Amino acid sequence: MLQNVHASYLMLCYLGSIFYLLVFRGNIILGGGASARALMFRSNNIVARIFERQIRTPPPGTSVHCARRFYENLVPSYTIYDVECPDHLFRKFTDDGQYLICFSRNHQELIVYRPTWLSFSCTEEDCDVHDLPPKAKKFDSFFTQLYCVSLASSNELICKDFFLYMESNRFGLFATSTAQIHDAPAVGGAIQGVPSIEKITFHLLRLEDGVVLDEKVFNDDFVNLAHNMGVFLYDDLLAIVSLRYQTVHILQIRDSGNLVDVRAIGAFCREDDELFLNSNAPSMGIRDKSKQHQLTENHVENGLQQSRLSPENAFVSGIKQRLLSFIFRGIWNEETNHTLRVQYLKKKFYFHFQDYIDLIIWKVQFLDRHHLLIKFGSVDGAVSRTTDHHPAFFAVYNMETTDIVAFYQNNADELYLLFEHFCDHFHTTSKNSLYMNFISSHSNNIHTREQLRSLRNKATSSSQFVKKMLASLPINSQALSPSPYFDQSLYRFDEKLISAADRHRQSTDHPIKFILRRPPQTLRFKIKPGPEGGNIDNRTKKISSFLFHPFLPFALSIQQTLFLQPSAVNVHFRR
Amino acid sequence: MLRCFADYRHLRGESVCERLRSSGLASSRIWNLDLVFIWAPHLDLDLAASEKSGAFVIMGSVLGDWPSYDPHNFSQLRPSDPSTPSKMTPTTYQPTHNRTLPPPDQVITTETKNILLRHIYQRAEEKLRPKRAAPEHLLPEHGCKQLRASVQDTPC
Repeated sequence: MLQNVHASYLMLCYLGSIFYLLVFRGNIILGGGASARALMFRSNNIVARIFERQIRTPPPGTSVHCARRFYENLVPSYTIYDVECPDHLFRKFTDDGQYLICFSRNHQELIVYRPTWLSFSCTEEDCDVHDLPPKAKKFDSFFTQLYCVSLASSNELICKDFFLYMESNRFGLFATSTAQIHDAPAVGGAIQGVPSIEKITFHLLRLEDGVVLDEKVFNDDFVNLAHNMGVFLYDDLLAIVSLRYQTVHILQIRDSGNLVDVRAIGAFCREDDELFLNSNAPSMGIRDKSKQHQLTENHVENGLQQSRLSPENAFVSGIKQRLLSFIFRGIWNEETNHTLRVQYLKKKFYFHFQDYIDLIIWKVQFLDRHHLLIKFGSVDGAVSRTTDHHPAFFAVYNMETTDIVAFYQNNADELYLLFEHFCDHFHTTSKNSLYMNFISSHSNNIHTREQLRSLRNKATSSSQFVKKMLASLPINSQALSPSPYFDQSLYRFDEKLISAADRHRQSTDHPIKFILRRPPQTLRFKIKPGPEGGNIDNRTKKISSFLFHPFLPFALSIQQTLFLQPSAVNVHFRR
Repeated sequence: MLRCFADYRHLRGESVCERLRSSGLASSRIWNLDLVFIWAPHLDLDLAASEKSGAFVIMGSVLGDWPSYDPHNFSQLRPSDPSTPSKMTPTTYQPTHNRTLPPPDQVITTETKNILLRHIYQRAEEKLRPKRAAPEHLLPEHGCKQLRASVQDTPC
């Protein structure tokens, strides 16, 4: 240590630069003027980078970014084509990289693997020349099966697009449901036009051993399960949107594994609203007591009873009332002149009153533990895929004070500005998972921001552009992969072919290139789904999906045809 | 180059040496510094650890083997007796007025609302603010259920 210090000190002296040496826990850090920096050119060589990491601390607040630069050197460049693997539906890697979640083809079982790595040895001189031994090129070399649990009973199916992971306790949330009934009658407070599912069960599993810790059942209800749309996980709070009964159920996942009801927002805002309204029902003369008994149903097995208001009720309660009164007060406050005020009210509020009454909750997300961002829209747009032509509104709701804080239409510039500046705060994550803060968004990445800017400049109509951007709100929970290979400041890739969102994409025969953003801006690796020689049959449409491990240089690409043929799975890893 | 060392040492080195000295782990070698060492926050710990492990801590005596620009640079700072603690205290500045005193009950904490919510609340308050006078009678009091019921009785 003394010799190293002495030698480097002498070297620097001789070069005549002006610096000062600081010792930091036994290591040496160099800092200094421009001439000093010229010495410390950034090499792309991994050894040089490791050495520089030893002797230099990164600028404050950038230690994770500097560490991620090593992902420019460690890339999944080697591909094993068409690995023989069990015929499962591969869902995703958990965000801490501990498990690979798969479902069986019949959508009834859950299989969990642990990702490991190859282990084989090569005793010869030059091992790089040799190809991998055939027994290494198997699925089992990379994954060990932990367990296989049957979640769905005979007539239920696991929803293969739904999976939420609670990292702090390593719990996974899965959903099973029976078949959808499309023309369900609107009984018991349900709204017309929304399909009904006889039974939806949410299973909370401990992923270490596959033990089902708790279940939550919704009967004759509808929750949009595709891609986690109807459920949002924030820390330990779950928000489940029951579209059919227009209620947002807030549940808490305890450390013991229990799903505990916190509140149900919809017909009632506070926990004791129902008690109050029921106790005052005779004085109001609106609700008939006999009707009340008919309508009370047990919808939630854990014992929470809710009585459903009949549509003949003369007053609007719950969140709808909050919303209408907020809109009313907003318009009232715009003008001090009474006649003008009444005029505005007529024009803006009463004219659209029926539309406001008909609004239903589409989607919900947490902004923090007390605030919800709720998307309202018309009944038609609730279940349809394309929501562009349907008007939509956003409201920020404070659960504690039961106040609506803000209300925007979906082409509001104000909300778009907030989205543009504070996008990361919409992608709310739990405090525990720090890596989620580094998923590229246009608030934390200059390249993404440039893309957004260019989109905005190209857009013909600004309100259409705003609508398109705000259509992504509220965001889906855990929809983006935290893999550093999707970091826009490290790599450039074709967003249409592959991206951090785990959606199926059109598959092409050409490999997907990942090009470095920084100089030398070369191609670093390619991901090619499908068999090595390309597809024989080019007529059938193929879709591919990609599963990237959160931190290892490892990816799975799965190519499947639309018919239920076995999929071609490629393993991409760093050899 | 060593002039820079000297200046730096005047700024920081004395207080560092003072702390080292006061921690009881100092030795005479400290004074013969031509390089300043700043430790991580846990000053005493680091020193103890490196002394134990025998790693190189302080570079020998003044200009022992080390090249220096002017050997007389450090002549003034050589205390003769290592046992007497240094009397140097860093100069402190006392304010002559109390305009900048914080209020006595001030507690500094992190704002719980994140910046997005802060902006949303700010905009909401801006919308309400200029028209404060008129809607007073319209707003029912919050948290008073009886009042709310009577307001709801009348159709909107």
